[in-house]
Amino acid sequence: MTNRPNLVLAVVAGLVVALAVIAGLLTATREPPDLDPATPEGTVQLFVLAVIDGEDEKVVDYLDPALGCRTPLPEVYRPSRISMAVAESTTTGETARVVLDVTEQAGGVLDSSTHREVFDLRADGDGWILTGHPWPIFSCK
Amino acid sequence: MFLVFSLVFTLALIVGAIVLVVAAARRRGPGIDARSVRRFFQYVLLFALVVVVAIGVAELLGMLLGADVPEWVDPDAELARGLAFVFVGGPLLAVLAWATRRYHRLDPAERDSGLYIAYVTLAALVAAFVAATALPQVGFAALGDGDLDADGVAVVLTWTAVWAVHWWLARRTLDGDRNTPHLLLGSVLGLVMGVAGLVNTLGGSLDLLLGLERYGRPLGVLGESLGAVLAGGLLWVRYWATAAIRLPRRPLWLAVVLPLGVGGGLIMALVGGSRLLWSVLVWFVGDRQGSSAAQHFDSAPVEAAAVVVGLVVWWYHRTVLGTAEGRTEPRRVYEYLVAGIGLAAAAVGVGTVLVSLIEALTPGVDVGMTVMNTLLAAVTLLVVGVPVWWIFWSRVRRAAAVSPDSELVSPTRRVYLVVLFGLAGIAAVVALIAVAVIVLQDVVAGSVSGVTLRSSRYGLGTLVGAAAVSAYHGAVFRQDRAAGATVRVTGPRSVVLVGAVGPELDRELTRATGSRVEVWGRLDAAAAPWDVAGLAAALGEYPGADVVVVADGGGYRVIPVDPSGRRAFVAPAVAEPAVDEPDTRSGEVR
Repeated sequence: MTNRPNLVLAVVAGLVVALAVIAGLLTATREPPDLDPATPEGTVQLFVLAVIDGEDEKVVDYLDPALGCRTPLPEVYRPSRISMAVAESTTTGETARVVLDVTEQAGGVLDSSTHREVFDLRADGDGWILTGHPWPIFSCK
Repeated sequence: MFLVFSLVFTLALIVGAIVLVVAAARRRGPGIDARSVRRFFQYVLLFALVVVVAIGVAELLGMLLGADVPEWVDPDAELARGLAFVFVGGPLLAVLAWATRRYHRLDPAERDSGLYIAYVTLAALVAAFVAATALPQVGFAALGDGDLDADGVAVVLTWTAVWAVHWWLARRTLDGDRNTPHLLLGSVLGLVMGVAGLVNTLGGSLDLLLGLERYGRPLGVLGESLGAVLAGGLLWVRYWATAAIRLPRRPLWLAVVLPLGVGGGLIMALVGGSRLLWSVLVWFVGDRQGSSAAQHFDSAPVEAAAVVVGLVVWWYHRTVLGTAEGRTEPRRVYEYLVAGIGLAAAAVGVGTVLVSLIEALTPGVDVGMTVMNTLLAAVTLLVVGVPVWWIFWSRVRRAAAVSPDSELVSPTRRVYLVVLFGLAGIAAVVALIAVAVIVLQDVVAGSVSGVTLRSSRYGLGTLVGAAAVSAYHGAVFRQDRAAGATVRVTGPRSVVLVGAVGPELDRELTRATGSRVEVWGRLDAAAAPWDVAGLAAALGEYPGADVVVVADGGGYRVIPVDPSGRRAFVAPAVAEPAVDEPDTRSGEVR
């Protein structure tokens, strides 16, 4: 029971250790991205963070008044552990559409689900506000 | 983690039901006739009447004990239903039970019918289940509110009585083999309830001792857990410790001890240990998101309890298996099973390393589950899974080095390797399709970027984990094949041994010839143990055929047959030799 299986095992173990070390180094040097409220992408992600943190006033500021949301927000779904990234962003004049890739991890890394959410925005002064039915609030009416 | 045990329990129930059906189907008899249809309706009706009368008695007893009737329930209707169930259902039940007893007296073969066995088994297990699940409710009311839950007490008393009657019936009318599914499924029920109750009791006690903040009624929850421990413990002692533990160690018995006892206990300990270790690592090294120690470790008591109880369950079943001399097949199954569980944890850890690497490489905002925490999850799974796999796989490797002839051809090893390839293959196919959907979605939308890679990270992690498992075990499989382990034994397709004795004869012959073997006893003459090696050599001359082997005088006759009945003996056209006789090769009966 030597030779080839042991060689394969050594290669697999070496690759795993190397991957883990690289991931650790990259993680240690990784800076959280700056989110710019003047861009559609930044607005969407700041809005989601405000929902998670329970900062209802900020949430309402990011929403189109036509949605009828006021503080305090009614019972809304607030995920506790998520990871998000902008999958797609298109701006057409005064409107924009941002597609967010969202991974929710309810019970840790082994209990996760990934989905994509579409956010519609319109320009409002120097920034952007969300219209339509933005995740995870959808509507206040 | 209770999900794991619930899953195992559900699987055990399904397997139990399938075994019952298969056993009934394999039982030789006249097939479906008027008598079997009568039995079907008789036992179904009997079971339904037992349930109806028990519900009625429990309701009336609950009212007598002073149970509260909810506002939305009409008390008169409740009373009327209870009275109808008892005073109409009761006499009907008595008449049917009397008729059934009369059938049994007139024809002892009634006791052998699969439907009667199924009735007694199902009625006893359902009664045990209902009584056992009501006991935690009584405990909750007793410790949480300081009240007597009259409804719960009535259910426990009534269904315990139903169980006692059917337990007595099973002991009196079902012999060892036919009572085996009942005893083993009851043991599983007791084990699962007892283990769940123990984990909750230990976890809840730690919560209270540490003064952790809990909503609701923690004392009530503790009473509920103690009720589950009591119910599960009583069932387990009655079914397992005083009965099923002494049953012959056949596949069904081993299926309870190995996958459920050893496997379930180990999985529970590994899951609990992984979650606990991950919480500790995140607290000291990772990103705890500003939570207090009480918030961060709120599930730690239950996780610690799962580790302790899981290890005890594992150790107990390992001890029950015993330390027989030599390398028996159950011992092999035990080592491969434990190695496989450790390997699964390690493989998930390998995949999670890649997930964390991709998260670190691609842009994204993380809340609550940062890249560092993901990496720590990977490290945890590797730290927990690799040692378990390494310890038990090393034992397997040593056994293969010492006696390759028996180890490499053992069915356990071959099944283990095939199961690993199968599971890895299924995981890889599902992951590949998921990755393809994400990539093509972005290709079609013209938005392929780092986020595409990030979205695919779990699928890619699964692919890498499956590839790592397949690569190593593929090398092991090829090495086994090079050593001649996978050379297929060719013998007849099926063999019926008439007049054979010995409980393991069919398995030994299957191992030697690769044939499907059935053993029929002879009632007209005594039979002696057969020479398996000699018979296997003789059967080697009938590859792919169906044969009957009849113990005859001092030897045996091998007769090629056609089980379909469509082909018949055809005399050769030439005159000599005159007869293509059935092979009457004789072997020595020792």
